[in-house]
Amino acid sequence: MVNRVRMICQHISFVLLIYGGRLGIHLGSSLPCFACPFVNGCGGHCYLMILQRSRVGFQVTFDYLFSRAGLEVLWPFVVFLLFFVPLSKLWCGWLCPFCLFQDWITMIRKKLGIREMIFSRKTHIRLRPIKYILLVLLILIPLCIANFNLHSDWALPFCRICPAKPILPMFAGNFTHFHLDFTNTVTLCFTALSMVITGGLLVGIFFKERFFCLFCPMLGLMHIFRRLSPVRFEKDISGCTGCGNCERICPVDIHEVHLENEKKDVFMQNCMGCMHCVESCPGDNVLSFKWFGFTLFSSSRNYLSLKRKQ
Amino acid sequence: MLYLKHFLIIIFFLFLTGLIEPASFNRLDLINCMPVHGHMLNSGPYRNKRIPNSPSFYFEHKAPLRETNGQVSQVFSLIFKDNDPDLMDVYFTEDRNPTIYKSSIKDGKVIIRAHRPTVFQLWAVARKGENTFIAHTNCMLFGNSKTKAERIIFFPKTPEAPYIEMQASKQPYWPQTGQEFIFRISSKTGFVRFALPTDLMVLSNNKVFALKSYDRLRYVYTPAHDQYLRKAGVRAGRNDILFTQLREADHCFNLTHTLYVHRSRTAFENYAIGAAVFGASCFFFIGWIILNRKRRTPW
Repeated sequence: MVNRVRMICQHISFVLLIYGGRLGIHLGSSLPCFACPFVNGCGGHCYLMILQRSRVGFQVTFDYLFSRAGLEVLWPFVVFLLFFVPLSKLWCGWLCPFCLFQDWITMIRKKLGIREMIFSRKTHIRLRPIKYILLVLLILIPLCIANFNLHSDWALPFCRICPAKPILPMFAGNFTHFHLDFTNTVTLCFTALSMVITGGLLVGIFFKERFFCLFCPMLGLMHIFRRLSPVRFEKDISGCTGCGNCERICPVDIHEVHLENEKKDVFMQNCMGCMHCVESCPGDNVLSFKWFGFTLFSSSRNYLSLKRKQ
Repeated sequence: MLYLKHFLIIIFFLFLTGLIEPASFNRLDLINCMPVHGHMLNSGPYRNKRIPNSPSFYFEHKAPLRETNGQVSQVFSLIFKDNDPDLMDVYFTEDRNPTIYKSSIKDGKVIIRAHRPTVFQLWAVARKGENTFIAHTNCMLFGNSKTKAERIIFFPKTPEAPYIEMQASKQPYWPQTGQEFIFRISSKTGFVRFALPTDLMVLSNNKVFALKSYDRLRYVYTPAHDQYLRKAGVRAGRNDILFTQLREADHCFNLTHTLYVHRSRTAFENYAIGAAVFGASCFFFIGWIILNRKRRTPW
């Protein structure tokens, strides 16, 4: 039931964010999800692009950044927070168009009967910092362009290698982002890297559910500010039987929810609020998503038995 | 094997920083630097007895600068080969607004400021004896400030002076190499009383070319790709000067237009190689995953 509602939300969001501009809908340039601005006629932009831009992003001189005009850098962030705070990381699981694309690929794999690739816990731990490294780089590189004469072809560094850039425009009939740019060595390297990363991630997404989310800097950014949001994911430790259903069902293999036996808060950094774990938990109110203390959805033995019957 | 991996990473990083370039690049540049004017008379240095071989009075664009109050300023150098003109005026218009504003000249430089996204058209008129020199150019500045840029309304003495006008390009973004631009001789009143010249000359990369008028009114110019622009970055530009001379009785009008072109955004994109790299990457990772795949632990 919840999964079905989530899929409906994702599809509506996909149509809105990919084709919304054609209907005159534009939700701005500070959305906390992968709504790619390279899609012709899109209905909103990803905040990561704004972060890297000149004037409204970090591609500005230090003089500008610390002057009154530097407040312009803060304004898109305020808009980002306005979008982010009410829903927190539910944006990822419920509204991100690129996540829906990943879900489609996973559905194809399941139909073909191909097994999912598994990562060891050690690999998961090793992969975790990548999203934060990317986040730091996408702020540092624009600053270096503006202040330390780094070549201007490094502008929008994350967008240049983001797999959403070549993939999402395809849904608007634009296949032109699959190219190598021979303008100079910098553009050639970036486009070659983009093609390799897109190919690798596409294969990864096929063999591993939500593979890109393991590297997504937007998820990292949202995790940093998750405390500002009223959305909470909590675990009643006393009621947990330790069955491990939550870990097995999790698309990004989060094991901390299963292992946690001290803290109430289990909104882990890779968690995107898909609620698969809550659906599969056999304990009553053991796992619950809350919004301002109000329970959005909590685990229940009855729900699980109904789901199994279906 | 380990050292090879490190070596390849270092080489890739050097490529990425632009510190080294493959030899094939230079060959590609040579091909792409060939002039691509569709209506060019000569491919080498051009000499016309009626028209001088170089422009004598023109604007030169400098890099725009974002100021701390959010305004964007653009500096233009006014190049005048004959020193000390008898009279010199610089004026400009904003967007489609017909009001003409005056700009001051300091040390041969003109500064235009914008507090909002604005398209400017600039004219500079100088007189020396029976010669009138008219330079024209246009630019777009993306200012964003609540502090309005100062403007002084101006009534030019020679509003009917002819100039080389660039028609609005159908191409998106800013003017780029490889795009087609159409020029015509025009005046503020839209009426040209002068006998049109047969040639419009272009000074680009220190070479002079002649453009043929294809319907006696309009001239087509396609700026050639440029190795320097390709390497210099997306904001770098080149000043291409279009110039000609008109005569009416004993009076001579020397017209110039400065076209500030950037490198092409799409001319060097190769889709076939891109798709091949993407496909190779997919095959590589599929193979790698199949060979290194672990079985899911039975629960």
